[in-house]
Amino acid sequence: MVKVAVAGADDSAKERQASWSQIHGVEVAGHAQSLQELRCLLAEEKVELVEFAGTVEGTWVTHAARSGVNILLDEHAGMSDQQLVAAADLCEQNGCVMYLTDSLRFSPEYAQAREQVVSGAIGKPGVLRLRRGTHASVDGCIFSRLGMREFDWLRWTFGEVERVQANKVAREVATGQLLQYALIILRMRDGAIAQVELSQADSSEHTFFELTGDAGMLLHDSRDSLPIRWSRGGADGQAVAGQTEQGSHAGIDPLQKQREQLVRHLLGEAAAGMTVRDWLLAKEIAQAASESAKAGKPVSLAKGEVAQ
Amino acid sequence: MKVGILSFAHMHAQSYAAHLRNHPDAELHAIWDDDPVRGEAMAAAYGAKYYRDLAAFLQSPIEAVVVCSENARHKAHVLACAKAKKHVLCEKPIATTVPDAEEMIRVCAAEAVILQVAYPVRFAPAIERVKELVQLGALGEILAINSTNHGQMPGGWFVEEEQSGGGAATDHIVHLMDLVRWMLADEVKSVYAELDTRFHQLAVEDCGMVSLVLESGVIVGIDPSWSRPKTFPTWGDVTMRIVGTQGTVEVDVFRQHLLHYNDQAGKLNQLPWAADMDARLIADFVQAVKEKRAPSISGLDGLRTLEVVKAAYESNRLQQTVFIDRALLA
Repeated sequence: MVKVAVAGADDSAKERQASWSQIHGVEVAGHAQSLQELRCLLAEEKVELVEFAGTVEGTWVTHAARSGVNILLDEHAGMSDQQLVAAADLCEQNGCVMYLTDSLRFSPEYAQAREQVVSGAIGKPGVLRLRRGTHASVDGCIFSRLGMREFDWLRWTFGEVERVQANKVAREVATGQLLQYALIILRMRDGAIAQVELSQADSSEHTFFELTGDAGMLLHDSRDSLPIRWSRGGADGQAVAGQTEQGSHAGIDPLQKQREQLVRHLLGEAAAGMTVRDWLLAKEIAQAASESAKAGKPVSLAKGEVAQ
Repeated sequence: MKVGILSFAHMHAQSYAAHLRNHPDAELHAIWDDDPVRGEAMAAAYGAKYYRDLAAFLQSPIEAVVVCSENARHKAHVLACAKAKKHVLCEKPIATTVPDAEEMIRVCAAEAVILQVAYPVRFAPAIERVKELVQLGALGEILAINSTNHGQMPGGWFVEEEQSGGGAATDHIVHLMDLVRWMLADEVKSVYAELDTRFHQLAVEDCGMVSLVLESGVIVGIDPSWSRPKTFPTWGDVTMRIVGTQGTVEVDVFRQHLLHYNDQAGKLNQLPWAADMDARLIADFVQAVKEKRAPSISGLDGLRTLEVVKAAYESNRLQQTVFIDRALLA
């Protein structure tokens, strides 16, 4: 039995607590809504993992880390990169691990694709093309804000990256928003060549991948994965097309899959999900892409560090 | 108008032959091929006269020649045609080296014959419409184009560097590069490429990824790989995602097809039904010759696309971004 607690004043905390209670082999120790409550909970119960709901104060995370409790955080959870790294270091010193959500590792199409690649379904990987398109509402660096999930998934599935080259364009559009678009080429250490396309010029979020190898190809486009297509006549007889009632992940909760995997991991039955270390390595790829786009030349990644 | 086909080494020659035979104002009169078995068979299939002797072929009463020999022989064959005052439609790529392409352009100009390069994708109605949308400003300012020209590995002389000039990069970058230059009226400033041989046991590259920056700042991605599996339902694809400040257009040139789930062959096949771009290319060339007008796709278009291919090889060799040094034609 794995004892789990939920911490945070976020509205989603109760829902998260309920989600944990549905997992076989889990005992929910409680929900801490303040740092004091968290201190008491961790002192009284032999909690193995705390899930923090939404944004969180660094002191809460630090306390959990010092207590040797594994941590599950929403990506960033309002913390800076430096705070995350410091908290992850503290976890390591106290024999526990910090995991992050918001990973493609638990999205069913990406999980399935990785499983197929690892089992040899495409043979020796050759050219890998991935895309994430969205509308122009993502602020900040496009490589970090839009590309991290793809970079992590590529690393997880195909191994480390040797070299990164990126081109980026950005324009302020009529709404005053900054529209960014980037093409990134990644040379993987095993020789495979990947392209990641990141676009804020699409009307809605969609994802695509095409994974080719010397024995086959795996193809996915989220726009072709909607089981319901709905079009209805408009008031003026104009068709309103392309609307759907549900997204492509209806009935599937990637975060719940991550929780289930974490429990199996803590019981010694499965590998871990995405740790902060994984996230930092994906971040290095994003930083290398950003440097490459600025410098107009490729950037080599060596031993987990960005080096020209 | 009597037209000849100079070699059936390239598989596109059969399509051009069929469209010349069906053209109301053209006659496929003569065929030259250094492979007599292939030449005789093609002459019989398309009702033309076979010549084994190139000089005799060029002395026949043909006004124009479609050159479909191996890439490395384009220069010699185009020069021979030009000196015999025959107009030329040359299969892509125009040549295997930039100096060869420059000489072909100079000689054709000096002999006052048309030199057109065969980039049929320009004649796909979907591509024509997308070009119109781009040039009307329907997408706003164009920021980027991400494109593919995939294929299955063609084998034969295509994978012998001395005959082809290179592998997938030579075979496929030029089509997309031509479309980008044509749609945006822009030239390439810099090229970065990662090329490799990962799908087949070959001495040439069979895959890669190319990233370009145009003089205007537009960024372009090209995947030229021979990466389609044996089970892919057709030979390959040509696709473009064109991203502007007011929208994104995606075009899949070969999207118009039936899907045939063929139990008898144990295979899934695409059966295209779109307007035939090869037929429209041939009609355009015949019209250019009749009207003695400038070709729709010039030798310079062929040269500029070849320069990008060569820069891609250089970039891959150096693992660096390469800036294009465009040849200045006299």
